[in-house]
Amino acid sequence: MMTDTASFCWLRLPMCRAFLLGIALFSALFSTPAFAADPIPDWVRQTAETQVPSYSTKVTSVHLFHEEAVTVDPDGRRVMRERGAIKLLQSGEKLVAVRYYDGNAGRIRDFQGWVLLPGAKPVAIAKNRVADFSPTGGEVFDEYRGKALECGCNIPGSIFFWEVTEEERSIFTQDSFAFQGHEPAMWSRYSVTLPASWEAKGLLFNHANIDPQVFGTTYTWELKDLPFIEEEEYSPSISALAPRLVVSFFPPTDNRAGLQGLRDWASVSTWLAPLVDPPAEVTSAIAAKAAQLTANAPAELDKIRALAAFVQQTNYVEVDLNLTRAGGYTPRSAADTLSRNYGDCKDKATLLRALLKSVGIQSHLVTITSGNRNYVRPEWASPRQFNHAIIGIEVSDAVKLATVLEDAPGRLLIFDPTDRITPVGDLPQSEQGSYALIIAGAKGALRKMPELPLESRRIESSANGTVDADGNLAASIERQYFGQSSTRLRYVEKTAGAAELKKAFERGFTRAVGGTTIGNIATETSEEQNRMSVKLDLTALRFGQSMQGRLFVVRPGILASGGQYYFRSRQRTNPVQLDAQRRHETIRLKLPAGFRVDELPAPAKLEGPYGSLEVSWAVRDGEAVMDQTLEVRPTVVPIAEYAKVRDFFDKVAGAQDAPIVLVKQ
Amino acid sequence: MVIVQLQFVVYNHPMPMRSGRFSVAFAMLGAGIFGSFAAAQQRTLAPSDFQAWLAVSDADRQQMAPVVEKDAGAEVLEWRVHVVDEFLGDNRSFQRVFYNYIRLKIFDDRGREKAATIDLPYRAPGTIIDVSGHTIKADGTVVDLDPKTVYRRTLERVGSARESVVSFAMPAVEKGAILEYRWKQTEDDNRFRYVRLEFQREFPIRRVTYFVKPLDSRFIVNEEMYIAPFNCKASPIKQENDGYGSTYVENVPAEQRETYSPSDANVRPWALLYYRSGGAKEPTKYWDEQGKEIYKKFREVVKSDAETKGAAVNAIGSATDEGGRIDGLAAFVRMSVRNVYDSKVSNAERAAFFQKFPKDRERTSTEILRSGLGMPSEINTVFAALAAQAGFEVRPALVADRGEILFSPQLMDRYFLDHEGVALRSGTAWKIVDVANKNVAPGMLPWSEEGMMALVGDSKMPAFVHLPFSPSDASAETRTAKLQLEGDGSLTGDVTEVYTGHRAEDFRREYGLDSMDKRVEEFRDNVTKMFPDADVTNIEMEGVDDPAKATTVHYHIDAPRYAQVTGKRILMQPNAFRRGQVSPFSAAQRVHPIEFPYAWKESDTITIGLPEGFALDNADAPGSLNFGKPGRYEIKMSVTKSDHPELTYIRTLVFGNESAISFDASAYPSLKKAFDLVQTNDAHTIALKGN
Repeated sequence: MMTDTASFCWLRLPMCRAFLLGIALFSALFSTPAFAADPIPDWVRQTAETQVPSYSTKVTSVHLFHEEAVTVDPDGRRVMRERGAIKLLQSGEKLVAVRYYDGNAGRIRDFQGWVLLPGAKPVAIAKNRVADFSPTGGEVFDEYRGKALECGCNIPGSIFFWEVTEEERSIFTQDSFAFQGHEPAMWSRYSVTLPASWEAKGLLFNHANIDPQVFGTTYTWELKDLPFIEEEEYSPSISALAPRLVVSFFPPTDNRAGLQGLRDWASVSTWLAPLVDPPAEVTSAIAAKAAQLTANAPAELDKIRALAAFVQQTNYVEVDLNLTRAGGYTPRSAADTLSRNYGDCKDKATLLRALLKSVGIQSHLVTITSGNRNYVRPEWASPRQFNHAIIGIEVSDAVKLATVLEDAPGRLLIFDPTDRITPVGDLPQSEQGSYALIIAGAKGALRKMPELPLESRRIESSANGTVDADGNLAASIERQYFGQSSTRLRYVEKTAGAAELKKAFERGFTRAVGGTTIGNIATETSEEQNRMSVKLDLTALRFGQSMQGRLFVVRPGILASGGQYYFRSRQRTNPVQLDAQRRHETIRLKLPAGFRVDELPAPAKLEGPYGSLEVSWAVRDGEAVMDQTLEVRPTVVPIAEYAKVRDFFDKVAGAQDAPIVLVKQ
Repeated sequence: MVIVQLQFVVYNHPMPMRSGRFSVAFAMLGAGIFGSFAAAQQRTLAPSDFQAWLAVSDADRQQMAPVVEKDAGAEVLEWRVHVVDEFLGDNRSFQRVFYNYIRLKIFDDRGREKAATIDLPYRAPGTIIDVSGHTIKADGTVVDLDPKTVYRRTLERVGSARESVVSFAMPAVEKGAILEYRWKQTEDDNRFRYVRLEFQREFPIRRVTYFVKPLDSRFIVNEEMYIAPFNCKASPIKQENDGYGSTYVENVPAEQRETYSPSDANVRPWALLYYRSGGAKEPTKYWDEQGKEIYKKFREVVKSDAETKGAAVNAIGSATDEGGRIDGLAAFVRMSVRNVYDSKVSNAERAAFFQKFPKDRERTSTEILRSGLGMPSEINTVFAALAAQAGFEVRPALVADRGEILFSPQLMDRYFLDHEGVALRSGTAWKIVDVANKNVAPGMLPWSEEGMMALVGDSKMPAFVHLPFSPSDASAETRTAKLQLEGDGSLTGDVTEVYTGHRAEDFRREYGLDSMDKRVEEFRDNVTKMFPDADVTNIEMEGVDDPAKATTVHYHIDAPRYAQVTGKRILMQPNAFRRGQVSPFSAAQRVHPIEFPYAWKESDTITIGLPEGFALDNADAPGSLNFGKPGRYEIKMSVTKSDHPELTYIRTLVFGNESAISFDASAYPSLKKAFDLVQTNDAHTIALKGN
């Protein structure tokens, strides 16, 4: 499900500072020769000799070599040199090396490339072919930038080499490195050279841990022969699949630059608190606004709801400045956000904190990763795991909501004011069950966010219709979408309008039912009940099929609200990620007169680790009734269980497509 | 065909003319130095809109609902654009400037969210400066846009090419607020004798007004400025007191995208401001002059020499008929001269090409052939040279394109007719050929040029010709399958798919850039979308790289659980290959006309061996559909009577006969119903019952 949440407003995660992608502009206008006559480095010549094993035809390129070598100065300044070599195995892919950097506190010192065409000698690529670009993600401004160098070769067997050196001044004492993307990597290496008396500690995710090779103050982690990671439907993100190194550096506590090593989550909380707390100051304007908004809200929860609703309507606008100096973690003042009526996630959370404080309710900023509930790893205490800010509101025992965390510390009501749809008492789906850091000075802690029961996001669907002797259907469908199951529809209606919502239903029904036309469609949203109801009238040509007037086949389940997972392949290389859902369908169809039931699908009841399905069919008084309840549990299914999960969803699909066969009486 | 109503507004140049003629070379020079002279430019006085905010009427303040579109969350009350040519420091060159002023009213949360941030993209050497704005809140409070919160970013920069954006968030945006913002944008298009005036935005617009002044007389001589509005009714030009002429359009709906819409130029409201010399002319006379001029230039670049002659002989080979000779020439030219914009041409090659390209003249056919790399028009030049050597009577042709406004000779400017092709005499008629697109079969034009007009150049009698639409048979998708259904519902067998004409062009566009292995993978992936769980093996593709041949794919499929096995029966969709194929028209309502790119034909012949022990149970065919002039849809089913009965399913869909590929929006319900029925009939199921 798409959720209505912020884009990434915290510091970008430079998990893979350089990788390959295609960018439109680069097909453009190079005014100078592409190849220059620079000397060819030895590492290029040596890497060119690499023998490549045989890969599946799905593999279009292979990384022969990828290295990130970082040198950290005592003042936190870093020099990062990256080298890479990628061999093109099949035409059709543009090879572009991309390096992101901070346009304010950093720079790309040098960017060089070489290409080796099959049967030729390596040649240097002219440096003025390096493109500089802004990786836009919807923000108004972001000082983060990228440089890209396109290989310009498309002959299979060609090898593209690049070397880029980046400088950055940073207060951060951590780093991360992705050993590969989806392509196979034959040799991938990360090294860091620290000042004397510093230490480094690394953790490897998605791979057995390895100890670094240590020479002096240089630590090196290295992996070889990493296989291809296929892109498959319903896979966890690449961050959960590809080997990824995270490293924390520990300078002496008395270092002059004031850099702090972060050993545990309390340290991270202590480090962040002075950044996030002062902007939540209560000003007279804040106090006045809070008083106005809560004038008719005497109870604690009423106050919270009134203030939260106001902040939710504050426009989401992202401006990313001063990122390497923790600008990505530092909200603007609540007063500024109030007067402009816009801000990003941390600004909005901070505005809500200030408003709450002015009515006597304390709260904490909570940092989380938006869009991927499995991203944050508790074993690495680092602010760099987060890209989003929400809020934990201290509440009394009188507040009994599913989004309250006990002992968090204290009772904290978790709420995301950036999500324009999800109200107090609910939480965006991708944040439920995710680890998040509650920033509370030394008392701060990493906690798992509440997971609401499936019932909270259920879909209740009923269809009542008539199928005539030609098979044409006229039906009324009513669906109640509760909680997170309603957010996408509510978001479409809120941002794009009722007409677009209707089009979305039209597209959906046309895919499922041929010859569909939707007439009236009416929606009703209840903010209090956190649900949306949709009522629509639908006609469909030949929904049922008459065969020579003697046989009649109808599949009521086609009108169900969905919920299937379709697995196209018999083989699977990645785990399967299932998202939570609960659906109850009641479909009633009046059948053409003069027929009797010859075949009725057998009722089914399935219960398994991935969910459950209970479905039955009946025909009474000329009316077919299908009743189905489907539950899917939020699970990451291991590859070994692929056959089982596929079988479960085959049965779900089979039930929804099951026919009732009638014969002429 | 959709007829575009053209309404011309002619605005006579109000200033005295001077001698001297503006040249293209000078225009490009002017564009090139915009950046470097920007600092020294002499700014003209900005329009009054830029010196003070316009007064907001009480009616605007009190307006509670949109006027143009009732469900709009916000509405542009006023969009004013002053188009000015500002002289630069040398006083001999200038830049085109658009002073934009927008007044936007917010009606609900949707409008508030959509209007919260403003992005103004531009391309160097043009720029955007002088951004200012404020929000008039519902209670009358005015909150200024802080200039420090106006951000400029370079989105992409390669060498001197640069794309940038100015972004800002309007403050205090809330329901009932009026936002006003303005910016000055300089134009980087060196074709500044042509200005596209856009009248549509993401929000509906109550009134959009363009204020224009003709180019200074130093740059145009004996030319008059014209404004040709399209898809809207622009007001007559009104002479304003400050020297501008103004034209406006009212009640412009927000932009909207729909499947199979005509090109933007044919649905969006816009106008072309352009200059034409010599005053009003008869179209016949104007195009007669143009036809003679292009012929003269054509003669200068199409050369005949021994090299070209040898190439022509080689290309034609043993072909004797006209079609075979043209095909041979086209294939040879495509093989010998690559299109410089082809994605398989590396950037290095492209850069070297443009660096070596003559600055002051066009290349001759011999030069192009020798270089092996050319621009699209140059590839046609080589074709023309070879065709001439092969004995064809050859002429240059200017061809209209459906991507632009539908051409009519009344549109007297080359702007509307800027594709270059080649005309070959065929009997008493001219056959137009465009070989620059390597995916198009020889003898066919790109579909965007079919049905258009072309001007055939000549020294004495240039003439317009109407280019035909290719018939549906020319773009065919034919599928033949021999399959066996088993009692457990599995379906196994061999399939051959053949694509011709524009269907093959589409296929090549989808798969052509990939390696053969990748093509096979992609194709397999596409087939398994129709047959989940299927094994698709022995995939062989032919003709993907050769537009002279049909594109053919053979494969074997093994689809377990294809058919539905119930207690007593097997239910099966005989047309396995249309499973999941949906109607392109899901919406109940339609705004724009409908335009299919070309006429086409789909033919499926599927033979399915029935499982042992099962017989058809009241099976029938879904029947055929007659679309009238555009085409038909037919299903024929039959079963052999034998110990091993076979079902033969033949499906034919023909659409676009007699050039019927464009329809007014009023035809949408009929079209939707036709394609809905195709979808439902394709999904027709038959029942088999155990003996």
